[in-house]
Amino acid sequence: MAPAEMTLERLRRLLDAYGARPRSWPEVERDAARELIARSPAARALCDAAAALDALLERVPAPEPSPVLVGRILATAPRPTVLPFPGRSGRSRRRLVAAVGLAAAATLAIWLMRRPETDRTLEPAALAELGDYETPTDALLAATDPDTVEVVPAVGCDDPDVACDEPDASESGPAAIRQPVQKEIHA
Amino acid sequence: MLRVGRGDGDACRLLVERHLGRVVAFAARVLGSPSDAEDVAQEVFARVWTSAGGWQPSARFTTWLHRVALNLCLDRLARRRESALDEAPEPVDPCPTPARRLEEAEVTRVVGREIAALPERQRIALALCHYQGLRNDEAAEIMEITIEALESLLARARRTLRARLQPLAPELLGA
Repeated sequence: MAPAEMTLERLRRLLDAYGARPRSWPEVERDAARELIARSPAARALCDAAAALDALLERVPAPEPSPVLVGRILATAPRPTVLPFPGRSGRSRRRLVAAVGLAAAATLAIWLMRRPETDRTLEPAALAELGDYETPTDALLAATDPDTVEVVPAVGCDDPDVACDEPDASESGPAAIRQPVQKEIHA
Repeated sequence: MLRVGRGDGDACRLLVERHLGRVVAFAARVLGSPSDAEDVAQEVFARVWTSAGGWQPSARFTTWLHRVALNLCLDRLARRRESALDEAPEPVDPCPTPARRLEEAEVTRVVGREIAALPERQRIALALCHYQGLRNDEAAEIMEITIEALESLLARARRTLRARLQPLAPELLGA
């Protein structure tokens, strides 16, 4: 609490304790002390005496810290800690890994569900190209009736393993194709 | 301080640059020994590093720093008193020759010697308020005394110094 008025006695105690530097005085008394010093010669004399002692005290320099000291102090300073994953705890990191795995699985499942199915039916145009049966090959491709086994390609009836019928002399030749037995073809 | 606690190297260096000189100066004025002052400063910053992680922003750092430094200085002063190899300064002649005038070069040495010869609490109060520039409430908090008690210590310190230096350097101190 600031005094109502600065007196010479209060100023003396102020100067005795804090010296003549206004910045050393308590802030609440600073302005009042300045005013008294400005108007009172006795106050100025007290202030001058305090200032002289201040000047002597300022002659004693403070030692500077050595560079070795700075290095010793910084050598013991804290070091940053490095975390492998973001997050402050192991629990947070495990949650993050689980979340990433679930997201990847969900993405894969969605992709599989939306993949277009392969159309296994023939286009109508492909069917039209087959046309009617005109050659023994057509019969082979179409019929599954065992009766049609009489129609065999001619691979050379001279080969005894084929068990061909006796070749007709008029139709000899290795590539001769025997006329198929006219059978009713069942579709 | 929070950045220091996270191991920020730049923050640590900045803290040292800002405060190491003041800590060394304060400890040197209290202990009267530059080498002891550096030892104390190193211990002070060791406490700073360990305290940084849990630092409360509401606390005033300079007040806390000086409190730590003062406690470490007081520990050393107590060990000095207990030690058989006490290196207390030489007792000062209570009645210096009035006719002798100090040479300019001796002024610094003598003033320093007189300050070192002050009673411990007066020397600490003078160091905190006059040299460190702390407010009276900060200095009182560091010394754990009232402002009135602080002013009493300061006044006695300055009166003692004036009384001892006046005969040696009257032209410097005036009539």
